[in-house]
Amino acid sequence: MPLLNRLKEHRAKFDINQGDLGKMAGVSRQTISLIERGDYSPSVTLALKLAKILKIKVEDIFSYVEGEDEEDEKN
Amino acid sequence: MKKMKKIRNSYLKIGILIFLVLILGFMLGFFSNKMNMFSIKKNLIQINALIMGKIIWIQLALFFGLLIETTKNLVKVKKLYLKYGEDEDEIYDFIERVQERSLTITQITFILNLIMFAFALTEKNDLIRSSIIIFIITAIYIGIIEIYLINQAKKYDMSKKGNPVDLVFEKHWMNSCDEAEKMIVYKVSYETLKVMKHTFLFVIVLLFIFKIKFNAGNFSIALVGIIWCIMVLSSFYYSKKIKKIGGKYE
Repeated sequence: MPLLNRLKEHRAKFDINQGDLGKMAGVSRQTISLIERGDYSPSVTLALKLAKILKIKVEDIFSYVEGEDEEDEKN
Repeated sequence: MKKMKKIRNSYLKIGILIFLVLILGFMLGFFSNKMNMFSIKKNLIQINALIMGKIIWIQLALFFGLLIETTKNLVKVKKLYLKYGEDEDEIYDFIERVQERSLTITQITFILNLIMFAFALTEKNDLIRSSIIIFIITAIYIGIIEIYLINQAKKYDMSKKGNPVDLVFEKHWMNSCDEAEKMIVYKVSYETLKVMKHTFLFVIVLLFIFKIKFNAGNFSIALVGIIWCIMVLSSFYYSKKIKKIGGKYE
């Protein structure tokens, strides 16, 4: 289930590094790095926390795109 | 319709795999009867004698190899951290990879050190005292390096908790991990479980062959079987326990 994210872009606007964002969100720098690379989809709680810290909506950071397999299954 | 086709294909795949393994087993058995097992046994005894003759040097090579590799990695990490501080995210990824590699090398060296020490523990070894000293020094050094690496990781990530010399260190460390880190641990554990299942099966088959061809005895087969059972039973036990407490591991 592909989850696109613009976390790095929004983090850069705030001019904070991964470590600082991680501390504010209560997670490790590695987790922020994994999310930004798209290697990890955060929980709802964490996604909401990140949106609150960056003062934007969750949908502005994360967006869901249906994969080809899921579309085939629906059809 | 698609689902039925998928199920039939997977049964077909399993059937083909079993057939191929049967063919492989038949060929191995056929050719091993043709081979001169006495000469293979003689070669294995010679290899063992060679290792026993050089055991001290192998132990020393393990120790110095570990010393050089870990010192190189630790100095690299410290230099990078001093140069870039906390501002370079990519450098942190690199530092974490280097630390992970160092820990893995340390653990493998510990296992090899134990195996070499077991080889060295024989009356025929004139340098047995030296072997024991090298083993103890290597084991102490490995302990120091592991503690240092964990404390270094805690220094770079203040959220990490747990004293490496504590008996419940893994529990505290795991509790201080966040959701992504826990997910990585769970996935890694499951993949390791899958690998171990196949490894145990392979090793037991190998030990059957050793028993038939070289009269290797039953103890090793029983030991591997017991360890396999422990793995399966502990997997079952923790699966039930974790389901009961709603997925929270404490």
